[in-house]
Amino acid sequence: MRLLSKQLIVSLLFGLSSFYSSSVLSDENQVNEEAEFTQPTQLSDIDRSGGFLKLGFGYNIVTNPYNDEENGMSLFLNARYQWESQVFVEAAFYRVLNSGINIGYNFYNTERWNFDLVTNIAHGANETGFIDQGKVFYKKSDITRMAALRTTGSFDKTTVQFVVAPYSFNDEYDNALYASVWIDQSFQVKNWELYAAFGLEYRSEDMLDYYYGIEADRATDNFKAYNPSSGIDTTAELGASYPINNKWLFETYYRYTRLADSITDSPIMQFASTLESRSKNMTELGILVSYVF
Amino acid sequence: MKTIVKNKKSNILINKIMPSLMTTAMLFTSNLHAEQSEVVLTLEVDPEQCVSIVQGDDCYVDVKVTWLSKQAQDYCLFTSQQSESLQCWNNQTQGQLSKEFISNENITFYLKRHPSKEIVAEEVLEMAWVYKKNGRSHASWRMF
Repeated sequence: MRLLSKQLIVSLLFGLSSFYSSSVLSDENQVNEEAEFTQPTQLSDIDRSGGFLKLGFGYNIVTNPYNDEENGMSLFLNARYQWESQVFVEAAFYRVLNSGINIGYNFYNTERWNFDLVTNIAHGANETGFIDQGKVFYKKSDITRMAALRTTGSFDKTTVQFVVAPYSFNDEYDNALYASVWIDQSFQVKNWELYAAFGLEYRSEDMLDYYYGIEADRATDNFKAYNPSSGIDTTAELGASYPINNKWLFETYYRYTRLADSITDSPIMQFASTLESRSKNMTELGILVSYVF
Repeated sequence: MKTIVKNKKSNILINKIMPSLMTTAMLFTSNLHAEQSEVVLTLEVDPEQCVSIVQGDDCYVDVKVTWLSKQAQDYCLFTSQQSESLQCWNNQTQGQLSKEFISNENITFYLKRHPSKEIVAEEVLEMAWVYKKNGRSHASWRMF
């Protein structure tokens, strides 16, 4: 059953990727038969090398079941640098599904699609501890960093990204699998850029069990044994940008993530979400001014 | 603001050096009048730049165009966007036009004498952007 669900999710992602790729390539063929840019990689590796750096400063509010609400002034970073060897490092914390600092190898490109082998944080570290009726419950779970195959399609105002991560660097559990799909659509209204993004993240049963499961020998009256199934988080993000000048941007965004039922059903998470300054799902609001180098 | 006496002159020239060279300039202008039948004109476009988020996107800007002349004549205002004039003035020494422009490339404003269509002043509204157009990912990309 577990294997079947893995195969299904991988097949689904590759199927979606193939479908979207073929439909878009079909469009490209129609549009570009005369322009002759349906062939892969018109840009050289030297052309593709270079970097991007955007630093922001502003205010954000973050609520989730893992930590107390955080609000206050914050720095925002969005950066990427790719060498001629096609190795890259990137850091992004909003308007992406897989945030954080990652390194990768951009191994293949077409006019519209970039294919990367990249590190990916499939789940952050967790530490849970409480005393229930005299019994101590403590669980610490390390970060799951994975190696992922990522393909990103860029089509004018639309960006589509598929990620499949079959290999985990966390050796505390087996059968880790992470997959995600993300679509970002921007719209121009006067000189404003508005965007709406939507994403799904799949995590395998063993991965969620590592973070949210309660073994029978650890269970208490209020925190009963729990063995989660695999789950899919759903994320939506809305944002807007306005150019103050050709270096400075005003930006704002709101992001909502509905955690998988198999996560929120965990007694640990049900308890955590009732704590003051925490929430059942995850939200983030940011208002910032950014400088684009 | 730029002045054209057949050739463009810089703001510094107009605002700072001009007063001290007024006499010379007047003589120079007079010479031009005599030699080229030209008129001292100023043409100002405000703002001077329109910034969009992504290179190639249309940029929306409310522009105020103002011109001044020492000599009342018939003038028409043109842009590089269209062959028809935006507005004409008859026997005037000054004029003003406010209008929204939408463009993804620089717009040049021309003040032409009517009916000869001789360009007597010109000014450029520059298009700028934050993100350079690039094949990778969404807009967030500027090479360095």
